[in-house]
Amino acid sequence: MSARRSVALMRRPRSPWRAIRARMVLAVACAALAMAVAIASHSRAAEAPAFHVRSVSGEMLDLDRLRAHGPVLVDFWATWCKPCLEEIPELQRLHRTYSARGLTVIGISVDGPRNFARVRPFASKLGITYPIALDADGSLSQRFAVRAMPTTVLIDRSGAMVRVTEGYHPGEIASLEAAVRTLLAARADSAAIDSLQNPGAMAAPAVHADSAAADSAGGR
Amino acid sequence: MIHDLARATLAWAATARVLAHVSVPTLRVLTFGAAFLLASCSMSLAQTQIQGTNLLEAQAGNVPFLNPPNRTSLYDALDLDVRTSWGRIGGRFETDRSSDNTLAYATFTRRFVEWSDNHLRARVGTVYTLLGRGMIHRSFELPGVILNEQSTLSRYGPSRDVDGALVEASLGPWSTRLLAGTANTGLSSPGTGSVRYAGELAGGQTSLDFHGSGTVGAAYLRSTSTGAQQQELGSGFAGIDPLDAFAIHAVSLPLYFEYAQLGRKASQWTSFSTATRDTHALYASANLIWNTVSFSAEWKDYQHFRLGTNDPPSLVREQSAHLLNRGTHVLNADDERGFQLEGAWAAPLGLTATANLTRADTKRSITPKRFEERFFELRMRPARATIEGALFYDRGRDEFVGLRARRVMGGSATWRVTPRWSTSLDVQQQRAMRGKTTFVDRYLSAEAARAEWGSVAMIWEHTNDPLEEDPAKFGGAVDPRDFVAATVHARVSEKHEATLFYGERRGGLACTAGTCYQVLAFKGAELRLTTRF
Repeated sequence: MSARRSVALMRRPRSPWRAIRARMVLAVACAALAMAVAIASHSRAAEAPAFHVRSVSGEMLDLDRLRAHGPVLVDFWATWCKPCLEEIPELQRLHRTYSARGLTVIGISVDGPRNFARVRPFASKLGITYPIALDADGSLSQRFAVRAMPTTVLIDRSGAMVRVTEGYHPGEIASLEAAVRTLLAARADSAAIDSLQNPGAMAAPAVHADSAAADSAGGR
Repeated sequence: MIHDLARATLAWAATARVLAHVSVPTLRVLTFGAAFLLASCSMSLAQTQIQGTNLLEAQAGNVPFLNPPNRTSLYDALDLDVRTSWGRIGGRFETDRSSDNTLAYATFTRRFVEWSDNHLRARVGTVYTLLGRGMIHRSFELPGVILNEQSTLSRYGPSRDVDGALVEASLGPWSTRLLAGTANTGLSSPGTGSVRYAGELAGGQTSLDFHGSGTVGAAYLRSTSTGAQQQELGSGFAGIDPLDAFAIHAVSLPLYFEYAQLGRKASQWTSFSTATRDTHALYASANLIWNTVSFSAEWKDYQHFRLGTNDPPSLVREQSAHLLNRGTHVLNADDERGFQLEGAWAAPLGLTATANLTRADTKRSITPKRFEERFFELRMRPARATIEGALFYDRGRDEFVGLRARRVMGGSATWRVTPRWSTSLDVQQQRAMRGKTTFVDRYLSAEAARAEWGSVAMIWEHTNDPLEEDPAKFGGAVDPRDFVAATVHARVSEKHEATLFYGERRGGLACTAGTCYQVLAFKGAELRLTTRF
């Protein structure tokens, strides 16, 4: 018998307390890590992950380009989601009211392959005129940490996620609309300052999807 | 931020010293955690964002008719995502503990490093992707869903991922993705100790996009995930909107076609067969969208295509009504063909009408089986009205699960009492026949909600389905069962939400994001907290 095997046989049996202690310390360490990260990320609004996707009607949607024109409202929804049915007409109203002032509304459908073919008819049925894209592989939902339907993310011109709302109850559009107005007012103020500093400059018009520019960039 | 992370590193080092004699798997977990933190610290020198979400669910109670009735358990999933100018690094720590302490676990169930720019995305670790429409491969997760293992009750977040590497590249109209790794079928909890990752798979997809009006591509996968035998799968797909191609924008006509084969010889790859002796999967869809009228038609034909790591479109309507959702048909890709037709009309005055016809048949079975569903819905949402509602009627049968006939009807209404307060009522009834037994299911839900605060709801469900009977009871007439529950959902703050459930929840099938799974019945109290930071 080798010396190594002899040593192994002489080892005392593992105490169950050792495993329990290890797990407890592990849990505490993870909690400490979570707290540290929470403290670290507390001071500022999280930045929205950049994305560029093609809408179901063929337009290329590039977040960086869209937010250059004003705030962007990204709505994660699905055809099977009941609260989404209540929220979508309100988002359509926001799109109709504020798109000329710089707001861009984007719907990201998280329907799987089972429902891909139903997304466009569904959008048509609800009268959605803002662009809709498919999150086919779920990567967008993961990047935005989507855990409930619908999840609505309001992104300001700097790219910060100023508001993230999960779920929807009737009437909740009011506070979202107030937040949109605040961002649009800030945009108007900055545009006014720009025009004072540079009288020749004009505020950029609202663009929902700059397909030609995005195509030339070769986005996915 | 750097100081905070440095402090956390020191705390981590101190705990690591305490853990000098910890087991190898735990050390592996700790090593990854330390590496995660160190990477986070080093990246903090660059422009870094740290985001996290936490999902905690505590239960006191048990599956009805199981002992002990006062079982307690705690499940938690913490997701961390560090984003920097060059990419992302992230992980998920998942744990489940219960008072019977049989299958407790605490482990990292996801970790990845991702690098991306406008043309390339490379990810190593836990990856998710889709080839074609999922006929030969789809890896995904169901966010926010917590499942129980049927026999052990161990809880986990369902994730059908691949542990390996994924590269996606695009240049102008051309895009491609390559995938390699070992697959998790997502069917078992990390606590069971069973092998979650098995076999190897490698493959990819390449496609050409014609300015959004069309796409054509092919996918290939080599897999040993479902057994020792290596399988080779290939698929070709094409999508086009012929009207868009001819610059006609008033009407849309998107068409899609995909055909996949399994285990063919090299000489057979170009052949097209839908014979029952040949393993194949065929999917085709067409939409017609004109102003306020829309129509969709889909066709499927699957033979021997249940691979464990794929997810072909089931062509069964994913219903949002409770009784219809739990009575859906689960695709059997080994032997099924069928179609789905749906038409919708957005009429004036906020009225929308939807009609759907779905059918699925076995091809090879000695006793042919059929799933059939006819669904009609009328939804009213008049502009400026404070009341909106919907009515539906569904008639069908699902011989795959022994249901000879089924009729479901229901309605829901929401009244906006004030701009912020609303109440909702949802009523449904199902009358179905299993074998020679007729049974009735009834569902009632009443909810009061206040915008920004949350909601309170009462749910009542009634059934005399023999399958729901106390297993200890033998013979005699079926005793009807009632399931009564109350839920309170509160928006504690912008970053925290809490949902409290108390009562009895009926088990059965449920579908989310196109995927169906079994939910266990539960009786007791359940608290769910979600945090975003």
